[in-house]
Amino acid sequence: MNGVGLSHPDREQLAAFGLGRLDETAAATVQEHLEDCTLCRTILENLPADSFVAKLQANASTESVVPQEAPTLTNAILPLAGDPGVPPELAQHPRYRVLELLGIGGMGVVYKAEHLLMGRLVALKVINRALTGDPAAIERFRREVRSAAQLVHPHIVTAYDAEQAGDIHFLVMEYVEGDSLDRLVKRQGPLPIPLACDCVRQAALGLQYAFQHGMVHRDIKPANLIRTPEGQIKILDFGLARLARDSAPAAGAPAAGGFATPAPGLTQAGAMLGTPDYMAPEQAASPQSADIRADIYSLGCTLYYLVTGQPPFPTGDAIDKLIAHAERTPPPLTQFRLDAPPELVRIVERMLAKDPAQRYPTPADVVHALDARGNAAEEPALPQNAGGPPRRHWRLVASMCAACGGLILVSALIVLIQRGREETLNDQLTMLYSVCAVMGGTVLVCQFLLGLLGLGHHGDGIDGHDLGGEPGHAEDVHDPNHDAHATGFVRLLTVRTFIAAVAFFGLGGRAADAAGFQPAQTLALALAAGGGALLLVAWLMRVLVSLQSDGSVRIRRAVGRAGTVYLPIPGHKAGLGKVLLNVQNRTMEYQAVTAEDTLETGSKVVVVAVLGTDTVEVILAPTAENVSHV
Amino acid sequence: MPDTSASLLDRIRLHPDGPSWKRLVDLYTPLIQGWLRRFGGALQSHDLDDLVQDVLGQVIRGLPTFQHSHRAGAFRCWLRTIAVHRLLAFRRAQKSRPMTYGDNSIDEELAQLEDPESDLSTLWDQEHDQYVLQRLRELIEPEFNAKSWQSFTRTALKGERAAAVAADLGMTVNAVLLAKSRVLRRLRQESRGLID
Repeated sequence: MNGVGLSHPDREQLAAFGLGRLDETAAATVQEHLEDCTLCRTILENLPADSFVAKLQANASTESVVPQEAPTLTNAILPLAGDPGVPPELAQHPRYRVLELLGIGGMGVVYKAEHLLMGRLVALKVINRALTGDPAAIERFRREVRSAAQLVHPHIVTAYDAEQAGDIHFLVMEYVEGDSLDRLVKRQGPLPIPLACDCVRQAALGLQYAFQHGMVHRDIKPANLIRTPEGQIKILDFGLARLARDSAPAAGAPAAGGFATPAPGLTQAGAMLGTPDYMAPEQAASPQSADIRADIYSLGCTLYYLVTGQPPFPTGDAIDKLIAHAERTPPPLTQFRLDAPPELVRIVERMLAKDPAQRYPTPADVVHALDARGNAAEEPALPQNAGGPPRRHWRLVASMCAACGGLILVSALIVLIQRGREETLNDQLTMLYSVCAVMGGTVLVCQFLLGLLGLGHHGDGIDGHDLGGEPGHAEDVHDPNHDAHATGFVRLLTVRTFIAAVAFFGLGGRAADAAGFQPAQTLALALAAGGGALLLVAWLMRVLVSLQSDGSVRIRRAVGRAGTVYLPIPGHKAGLGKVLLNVQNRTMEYQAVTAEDTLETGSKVVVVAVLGTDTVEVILAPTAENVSHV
Repeated sequence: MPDTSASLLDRIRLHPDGPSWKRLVDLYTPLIQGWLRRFGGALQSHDLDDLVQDVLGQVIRGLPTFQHSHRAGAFRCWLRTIAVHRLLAFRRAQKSRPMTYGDNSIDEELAQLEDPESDLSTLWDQEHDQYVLQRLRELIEPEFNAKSWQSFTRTALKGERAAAVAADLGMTVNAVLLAKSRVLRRLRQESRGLID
């Protein structure tokens, strides 16, 4: 076989051979050729590798990996592989008795434990081993925790101690019962605005205290804000954010058994604990230089999240989000919450200013801003309610009192002036009754017709969805909150109620007259009829919400304006939930599917009859009120 | 002697109960275990074993109809999706203990892993590739004689010149080149479908 005489394989064939990509027969041919052809051999040697070979080369430097511990890059981020029982050093700790696992976070596992001597409940946060491999990092951690431990404040989860048991480092913290805000929102959807503002206000109080003691949190986010059953907010993990970021695997994962560093960009992105949904732009650029205003930015993102259900820049990967924080404006709050008051929008905007100097300088300023806004409105301002509820109520009450007073005055005047002239009085009263009956009746009928036709803006009149009596509980509304009750009652005094009363006044008078009563008695009966009608319609127009056995909520009647109804929620141990019913004028929005033993936001709501509603919202949120019985 | 023209996946498809399936199970079990431990939160060891079985079960059931779309990493992506979904289903089924202190990094990570474009998925893919290749190397090594294997390691993995290696090991340059080609071919063939 003469190498010169044989045709050489072309370069591609050679490359394929060299990389093992030829099939058996073709490879055999090339192989034969190579026996004698130094030229091709030389070429072959110098051909580049492909991606497959590159992958092989990438871990060629490592030792053979023991199968039990697959190579990991993310080991440093998450708890080490291994049986997730309680580490023996903790299980046999002289001072603490581990009670249960509370959760797993990015930095380690958290256990609920009891301090044996003091009998106090604590939380033990076991720091992931990979994060504490470096003695310098441990010392930094200790220092940070020591300063964080100086913080004793109702809105901060107190850190008691940083301990070491064997080679396990753990943090001893105050045990706080409750849910983090991100779990709350995930479960129940965006929070009512007053609640969201209250949460952020409390967090700001905690931050202010820490700021006064020279500390910055650096990782404020909904997951780090715990809400106790009493509604108190506590900030978690002061002092730990820095540890995590400093020790994140920029250096690969030293404890995890040899893994070649992949492309630097990937390492950086993969090293983020979670995504930077709440990170201030200056903090992303230079973590060490971030001051309390970065926390304010994060708190602003948190407020945004509480109110809309998503952070300002929810889409994209880590890099996209960092860029967005630095350069883009988030979608306005009003895009997600029609009821977002302009003051709130302004507050969030200022907290989210790109330039730290433009934000509120201290958390105390945030508190003041929220307080100022809070006094403006007790309830979410609904689209039509531009004036704000209190003023509206006063106007209504005033006008109705005036009208009632006027009616009584007119009647009295008629009686006085016409005393003695009984027939004329009679006639005039009769005329008054007739007028009232006709006018009132006409207005009611018109409203009803308009309502049916979908034209009445305020939805007056009976909606055609009346399904009649339904089996199941007809729950009355138990309302322990006196203020809301009073407000609700005032709301009942809507124009409709008044008109109904007037109409009945007239009808009652005519009827009594026709029945042959004395004028004075007729008047009394008419007034009684009017008053009775007032109360009756008001009573009919309460929201009667019945809980069905399938967990859905059936509303029998809906009240005027935004009704706040307090309902017992079966199975919900926290007690009463606040149900606000959202029924948009004519279009009643039915929302998704029910839950079994707890009513979720978006539970199916069947509106049985609607009498004059505006906008009534369905939100379920546990409150601290006492349980009422189903 | 394995049928040298078919990849591991192909052989499994032909003989689902054969030794090739066992090889796949041995190959992937540690990797899946490691993933589940890391991304699954606090799993009890019996839950972990069940989940691994679940995942592998889904793989064996789905393999006959698994269409390799010839996009790079289709199998790996499919496997990741199976693992993530099994894990999500498992977590949903668990009556949730109140995880007040967990900062939901697990849920976020699982969400990221569902997205093939995310950074976490890319890292996952890399780990998968490197682990599988390493194990396959170990599994294949016995098929070659020591010298050929060494020459492969030195030339293909460490990038040494063929002439130097040949001189060291007392082989011809040709033999060195051939060894490299054959081992690479064997590796490619075995890993075809798993690594792309």
